[in-house]
Amino acid sequence: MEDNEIIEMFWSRQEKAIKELAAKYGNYCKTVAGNILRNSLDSEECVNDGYFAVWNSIPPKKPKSLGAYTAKIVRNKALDLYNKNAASKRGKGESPLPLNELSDLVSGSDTEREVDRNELLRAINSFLDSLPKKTRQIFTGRYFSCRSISELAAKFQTNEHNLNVILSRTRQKLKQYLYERGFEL
Amino acid sequence: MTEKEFLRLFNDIDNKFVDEEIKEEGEIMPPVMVKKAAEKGFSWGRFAGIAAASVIVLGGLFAAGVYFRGNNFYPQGTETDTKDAAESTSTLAEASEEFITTEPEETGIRVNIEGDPREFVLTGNPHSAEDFVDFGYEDIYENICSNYATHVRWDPENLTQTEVNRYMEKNDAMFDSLDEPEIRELYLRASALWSFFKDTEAMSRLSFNESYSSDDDKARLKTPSDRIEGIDDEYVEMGVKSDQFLNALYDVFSEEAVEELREKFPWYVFYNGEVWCPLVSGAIGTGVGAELELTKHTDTEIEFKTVLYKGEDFYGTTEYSEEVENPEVYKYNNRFVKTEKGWRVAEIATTSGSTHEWGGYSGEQQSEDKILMDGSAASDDEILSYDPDTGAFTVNSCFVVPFSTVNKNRVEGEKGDWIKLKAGDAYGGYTVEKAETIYSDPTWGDYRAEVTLSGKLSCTGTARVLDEQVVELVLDEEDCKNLMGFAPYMDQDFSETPSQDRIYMWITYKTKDCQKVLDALKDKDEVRVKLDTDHFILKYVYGSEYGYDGRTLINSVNLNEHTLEIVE
Repeated sequence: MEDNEIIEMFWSRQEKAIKELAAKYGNYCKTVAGNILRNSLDSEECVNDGYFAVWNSIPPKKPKSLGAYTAKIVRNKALDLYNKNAASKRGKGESPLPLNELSDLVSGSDTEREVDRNELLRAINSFLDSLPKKTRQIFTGRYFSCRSISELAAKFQTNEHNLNVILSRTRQKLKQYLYERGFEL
Repeated sequence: MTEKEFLRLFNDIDNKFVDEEIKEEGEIMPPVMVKKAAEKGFSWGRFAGIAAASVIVLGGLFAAGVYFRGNNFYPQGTETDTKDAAESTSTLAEASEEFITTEPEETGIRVNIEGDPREFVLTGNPHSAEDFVDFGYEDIYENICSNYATHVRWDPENLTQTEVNRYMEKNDAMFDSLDEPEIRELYLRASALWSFFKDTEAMSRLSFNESYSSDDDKARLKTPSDRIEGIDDEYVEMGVKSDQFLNALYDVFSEEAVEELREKFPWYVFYNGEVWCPLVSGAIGTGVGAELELTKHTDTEIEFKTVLYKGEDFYGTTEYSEEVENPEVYKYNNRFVKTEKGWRVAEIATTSGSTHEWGGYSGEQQSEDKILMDGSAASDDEILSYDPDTGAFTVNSCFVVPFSTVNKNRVEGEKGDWIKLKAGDAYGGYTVEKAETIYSDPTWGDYRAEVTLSGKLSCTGTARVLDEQVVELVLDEEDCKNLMGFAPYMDQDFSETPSQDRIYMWITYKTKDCQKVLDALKDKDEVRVKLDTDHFILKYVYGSEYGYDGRTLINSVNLNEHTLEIVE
């Protein structure tokens, strides 16, 4: 079913809209939530909360990309729950989030100078646009979908070492790219 | 900013990147994989030699999604795009006037090849305009940019493929020195468009409407006259509007250059407002990624050379290698002129086998021999596809060897212990459902093979945590012997006995029952597990593009029908 048809169903308050949304984008949403939370019950909860949020926000919203809209809501909820779990030490073992490797990109400090978030996002988007498709997919796969290195290595048919090299170089390039435009993360 | 804040910020990246991720979800990794632990035994000597002279490849050319006007690039469907397209109509009409006839029922058209009119005979029914797809070559352009920016180079010390930008800094400095920011992009755009002249398959790789999925559905234009060298005598409709195709050319090349291209490389004819192209063509590259050397820079003209080297050990002109003494140096011209519409490409270097200003038809032809792993030539009935430009081909067979076969018995070009498998064959307790090998770059030994097997695979092994989400299962040796392996190309130095080889399975947390194993591994370094499945794919990849090192993988395909148990 086309996005606009599903959105139309949301607007006309048909509950079937949720079912269609889940059928079309449920897999990806579950993947993202699962990658972040590593717990099927929590992931399921996040995805369902995400659907509910979509239900509550459409109308009045009419997202151009229903998939991205839903995925971002679910991802945000998963990050919220991850933080909550981490705070209450419900998390098990090492973090599934790619946090350590990001330390070469960000300062790690909470006391950042004020930056224009929209400008920063524009620069990041522009950087992503400039990347070769494969590199971009690896980068967003890792830092948006939070896929594991081994999963991405298999997907892009390379070994983990090469994949880490690609990610590391891309982070360095992003850092430089942002620095040249006046941003220091 | 903290790492977590960055991840949160990343939530708001442009939707198109998220859509790209969603689109890819269907192709995400197979949950169960096996690798053959052959890393130690593999000899890299042969590859170290040839990889040092890695060629410039413009391969992997696909197009979709975006086309452009002037020096600005817009996603399809934007208001700006539509507006610009409407505004450009007059230019298109002028450009196409003498080449386009609009009556589909007309049986003859005139095309401008060396000034002589040619007659074509139409067979079949051309599709209507609504079936046409937009001519977008953005993916090809991206590929060209990628080739410009990155070369894969063999690192013999670390036995890995590394990405290097050998000339990028120098070339970027050259472009920067021009202080004409559009030149670099024009150069890369021209190279992308050149793909459609050097390789008509580039056109066929555009995303056609569904109604264009089969060549059989397409109408044909046939030339009753003698075949022109390098051009097939049968043109097929491509469902691409000729005005868009021409427009793209005029946005990058000067008018004279477009005319010259069309005269010297009449790969395309225009009929019914549509582009028709032959099924085969020649192959001449533009050397993107090679060294560039500025030779002229005035207000109205810029000229730089593409510099290539050739030595005895080289297979053709390529980038410079210190390992070759006194290489022959070839320089090919790139020229840009300032027009009323801005800078345009007047000449683009073409680099293979000829110093003709446009390359001519005398470029090096790929060998038509399609040699398989065992040294035999592929027969016509086993070739599934063939790319005359790159020489890549796909066959409906795989070569395997019994697991733990001594590798030195399998010398390239000799049959040795090779077993050729095709669909329907039996091997051990398995039936071959499908077999396929892609020889993606025969010159460099890049290939990937897959064989789908049905039959019971019951194995035990030792599982341990590979990373946060993946369990590595080392199969017991006896179980390994029930499977076959794909041997890499090898040389005489490949003498390590594979007796220590084992087969590994990588099982991700998404695989059914994997969580049980992960849970069991919380308190232990290893656990013993048993896996049963009755349908799986065996896969082998060696490719310089991805730095694959010759591992055999198994992807279980009956994901929900396998069982994975912890055993004592």
